[in-house]
Amino acid sequence: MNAQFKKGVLELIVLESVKNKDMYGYELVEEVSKVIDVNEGTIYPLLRRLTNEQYFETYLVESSEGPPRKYYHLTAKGVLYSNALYKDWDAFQAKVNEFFRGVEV
Amino acid sequence: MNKEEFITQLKRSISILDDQEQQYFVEEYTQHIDMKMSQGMSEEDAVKEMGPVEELSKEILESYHVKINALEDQKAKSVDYKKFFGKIKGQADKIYGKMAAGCKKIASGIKKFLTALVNLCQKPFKRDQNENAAGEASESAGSPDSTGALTGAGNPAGSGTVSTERKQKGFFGGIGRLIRGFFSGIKEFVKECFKGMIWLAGKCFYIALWCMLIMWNAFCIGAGIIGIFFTAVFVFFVGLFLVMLTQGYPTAGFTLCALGASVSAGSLVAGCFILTRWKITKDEKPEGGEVNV
Repeated sequence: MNAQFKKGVLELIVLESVKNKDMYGYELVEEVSKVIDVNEGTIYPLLRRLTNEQYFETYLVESSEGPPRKYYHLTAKGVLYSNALYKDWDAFQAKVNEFFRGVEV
Repeated sequence: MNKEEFITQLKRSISILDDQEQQYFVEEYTQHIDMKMSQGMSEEDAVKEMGPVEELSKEILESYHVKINALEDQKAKSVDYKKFFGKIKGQADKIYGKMAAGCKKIASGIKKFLTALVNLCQKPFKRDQNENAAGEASESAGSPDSTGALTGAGNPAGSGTVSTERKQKGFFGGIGRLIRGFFSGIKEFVKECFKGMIWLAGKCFYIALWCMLIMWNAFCIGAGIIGIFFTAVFVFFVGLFLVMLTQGYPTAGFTLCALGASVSAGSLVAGCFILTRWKITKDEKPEGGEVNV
């Protein structure tokens, strides 16, 4: 898939994934990988940025295997942002699809 | 690449960030790779799936709105300085090398000269035994004594004359080498100095040109400011005389004079500012037309 498409939509996918359920990094990477194929490392800069912008908050949960896991939780601010972003995406893809349908006909 | 290398490289490339932020990425990436490995993936593959370090560090820095090229620009600048001083050092080394070579030549000349001189002085005392051997030694160092002895044994009659000639040849050859060495040393030294000076002069020329430009501009601006002052004064007089003229004083001539003076002072100001130049073109000549306001 086009790298620019991926980059644009990655943020929304991450936000929506965490909205459903609090997740830790590795889990989130697996979730995202179901939809799009990205370098696994690229999720973390995004997570850090969204955390620094207070869309996410993190907490540690002890794990039976290895070190404690850092879970990401969507804050109220994050929910608003995610919803706004989703609306944008929806309007955008609807418009683009409409355009393409028009071109076909 | 194994995990350690990956983490070290990553840390190095994001070293501009806070320790805390670096720590975050190190922890998360380490944990991620560990989890991959615990699911049966090899270390190599787990690292590969993360993506290339350069790309990751770029993305990380981008997410902090860091200007990625800034660091590289700084590096490039410092490298430039290094190159400059390296070149100066290289030139100095070259001059030093040539000087050393010249000194060596001079020294070898002196050595040959002294050897020949010593041999010549020894002549009256060691006429019979060692003449040939000494002569040989002065001509070509390292020729074994036996050769000399053989030659000496070969022609016992004419040995005296032959060795004297040889010694004199060695003596004058020594002087010749000394002089040649001396002059070639000086020649090389001067040549290298000259080359270095030309190179330095090329750099200095550009700087000097800028200095000249700045001085010229300073002069123009200074004259311009003085011109502005005079213009103001003359304009004031024009007003003064005009007022006096309307009062009935006979100052028509003064008014005209002051008017002319103020106009010429004003044009001087304009001229000064038009003559300032702020650019040097590629062929290193001041370019016209650039007007400062």
